[in-house]
Amino acid sequence: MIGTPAGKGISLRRIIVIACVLVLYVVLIVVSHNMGKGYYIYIDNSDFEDGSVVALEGVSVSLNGEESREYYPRDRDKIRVLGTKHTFSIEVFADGAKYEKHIDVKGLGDNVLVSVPKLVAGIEPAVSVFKPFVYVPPEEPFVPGTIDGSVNPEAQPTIAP
Amino acid sequence: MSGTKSVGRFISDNAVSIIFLTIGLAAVPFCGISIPGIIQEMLTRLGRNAFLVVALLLPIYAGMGLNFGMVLGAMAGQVGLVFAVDWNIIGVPGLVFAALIGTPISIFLGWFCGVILNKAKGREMVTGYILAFFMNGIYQFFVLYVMGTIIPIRTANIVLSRGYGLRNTLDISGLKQTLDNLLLWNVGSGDWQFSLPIASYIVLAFLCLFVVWFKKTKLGQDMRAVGNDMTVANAAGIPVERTRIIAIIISTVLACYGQIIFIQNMGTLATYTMHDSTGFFAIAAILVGGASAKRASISNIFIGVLLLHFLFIVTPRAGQFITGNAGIGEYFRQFIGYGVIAFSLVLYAWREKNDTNRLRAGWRGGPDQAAANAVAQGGAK
Amino acid sequence: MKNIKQFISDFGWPRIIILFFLVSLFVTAPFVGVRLDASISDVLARFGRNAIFVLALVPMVQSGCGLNFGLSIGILAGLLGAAVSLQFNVFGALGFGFGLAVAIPFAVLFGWLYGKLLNKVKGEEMTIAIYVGFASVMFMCIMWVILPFNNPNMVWAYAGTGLRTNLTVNEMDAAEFPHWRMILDDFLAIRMGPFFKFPTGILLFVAFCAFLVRLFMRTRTGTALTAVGSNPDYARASGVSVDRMRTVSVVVSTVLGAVGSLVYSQSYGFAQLYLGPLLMPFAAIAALLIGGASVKKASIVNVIVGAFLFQGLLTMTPSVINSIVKSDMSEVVRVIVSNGIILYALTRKTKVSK
Repeated sequence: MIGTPAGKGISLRRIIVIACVLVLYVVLIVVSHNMGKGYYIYIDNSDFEDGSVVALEGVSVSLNGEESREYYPRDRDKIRVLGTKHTFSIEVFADGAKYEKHIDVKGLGDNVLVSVPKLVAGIEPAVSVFKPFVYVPPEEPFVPGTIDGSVNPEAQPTIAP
Repeated sequence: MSGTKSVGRFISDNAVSIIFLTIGLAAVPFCGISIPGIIQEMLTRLGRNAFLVVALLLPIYAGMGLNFGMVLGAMAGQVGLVFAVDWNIIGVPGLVFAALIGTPISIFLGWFCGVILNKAKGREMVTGYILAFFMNGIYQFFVLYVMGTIIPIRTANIVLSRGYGLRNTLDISGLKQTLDNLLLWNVGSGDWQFSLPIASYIVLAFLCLFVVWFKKTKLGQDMRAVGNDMTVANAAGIPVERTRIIAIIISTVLACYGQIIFIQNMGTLATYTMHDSTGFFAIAAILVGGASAKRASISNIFIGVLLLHFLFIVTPRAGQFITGNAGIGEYFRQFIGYGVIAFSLVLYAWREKNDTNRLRAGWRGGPDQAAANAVAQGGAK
Repeated sequence: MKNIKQFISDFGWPRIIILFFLVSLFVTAPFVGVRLDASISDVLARFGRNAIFVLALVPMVQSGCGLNFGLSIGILAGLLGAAVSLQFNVFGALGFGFGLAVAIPFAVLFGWLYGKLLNKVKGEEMTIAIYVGFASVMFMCIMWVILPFNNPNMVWAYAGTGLRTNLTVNEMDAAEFPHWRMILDDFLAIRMGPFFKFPTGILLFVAFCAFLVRLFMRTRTGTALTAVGSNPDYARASGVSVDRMRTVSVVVSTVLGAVGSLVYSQSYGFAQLYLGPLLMPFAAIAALLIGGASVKKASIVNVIVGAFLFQGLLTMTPSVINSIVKSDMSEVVRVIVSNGIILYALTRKTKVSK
């Protein structure tokens, strides 16, 4: 690509080089996407709707070896994680039982809900899609052409240098 | 006799850096920040800003002056970051992802910039400056009206409440300081403790090695020939227009990566305004480091970044102290910044004229011959 | 047919395209709910307000100093005059005149210094001018804060010192104390209905200034100036001091900038301090270039045509597009249009057009 004099036309070697670069590019995008994809896990400790699973009175959960947190009925927590496979270390206060559960959040979107009672009871699926309520506080769109963001109807075209 | 002359030449060659150092040192006692604090801040800023300044090297090398169009690369980098945030990709892979998205955009913008600059030979700097403004308008349009409508955004909380257009500041907590924290060394003890972002330094070192290697390739040599004299290069068979465009493209792509590094250190993304000062800071830095529109080296970059930010760290409060007024700090900083760019441009243009006059005097023979020879040797560096 | 072709190539395709675009905007306007009479009135007012800035660029272009990106220096002198006049509460036409009387000496001084600087950097004037202009604006920002103005209508109420960002050229109790707002605009103005005002006064003033400049360019100094710009060696051979002529052109340009600044303030109603003057030169330059001038040659016709086209575009494009798209795109459009114009002009091969 560098040494080819202009006007010689597109040589086969050039096509191969460009193709390789493109393939490498796509590969890198996919790899960085998968390696870096972050998820929000909502750890939930509440009753299942039809009453088949009851919330645990007190449970301490540690996600991926981090500091453990305590959950009481109807508690819910939001944790940001990297990657699709995660490990929960669970200790139930009531009977002192300890569990190690592994989950895989692949294919469930950015936000997943993990129900601890279901995990403990071994009921599948313990992981489900979660749609978080997103509160978007109203904000005025930035007005370009103003120095400090306020609108000057008489302003000449300006941009803050 | 020649001893004083070479000292004189040293001072005049590095006048801007010396002045900056003096002003900075004078302001230190008044600035209200401890010396270790100053040093720590300088070390952080080195990791944050130096990459962007390196982006300016190649266009200067290729004779295109100070590439004000590097802002286009910064905008591309920001678009890349927006996508990384939107797709919730965090950590170092997030930065890589942003860089990958930004690269084709920078290449296109760099190509566009190069084509335009080729049409304005002899006026590259002014044209680049206006092009940056123009492209900023396009960028604002893109981010205000296209994002969220034609380009779908998945994450609702980065979109304005009206449904389209990005918010003024984006939360990049997943990417904040990822590169810095990758390899953080804490050295020293007691008062003199410093936190060094080694990963950023390593990236910077690789970039410098790349530049050094590049200058030795055929393309690099072509650029140097074009930078020295376009007509001669053309006569030698070098595709002048294409070489200049490639120089700008590389510069733009580097600016894209540099901006990503800058933003990850800053911690938030001010979608509409973050790139405004990018060109200004980078160009001021390289000029303070002793470079000119026609000649720049890697040492200029490091000296410049350290000196410029040294001044920017200590002057605001000093300005307040001198004038007794609190609101002055920011104006004072900008005044110094613009003033130094103007001053170094003036100094360089004036020196160029002097050198030409001395050369001319040398051709007429006589006692100025030696001076003219010295100038000729110095100019061929 | 040949005459038409000649006319088109003289006028330049870009200007024709822009003219057609502008006309089409005017035609579309009523159909999208934009009042035509208000628009025309607007365009006329903005033309009057900005024309002198564009005029100020001509001397320096003619003398070979390039486009005066440092016009802000002249604007700052004008603002100083305005501030002093307001400080002493001088009203009416006298206030305007007083402002001029204060501003012009400052403008001469600033221009002289600036000219000396530019003489040392022949060939690189434009880039340096941008940064000298910016640095000056920042310097004046510091000055606006610390200079001892104390008129209560001008300073921040709480601190009692330091000038406000925008100084009203129109006292709160407007009926009783009209400073000098619209002193030119309203002079002999022709009003037709609530939306239309033909600002005779300001247009007369602009015409007067243009006439003066044209007269000046025909004097010996003026022709020497042009000679220096088009052929410096010949000028030097004829005994003209190149440096002196260039300095003269810079001083004239700066003074015109000061005058233009006062005219702008009286029309707009505010004297915009601090960062106001920062980017005004760019708008003036865009106007001049769209009028057909080049980096080396500019005429009064360029000024009039350019200012009109530019302000017309800047007024009509946003308002019409906003009505069509139902959203406020005006600022973005302004930025793109004005900078696109300068860009286009910078990348053209320099062709002399009338």
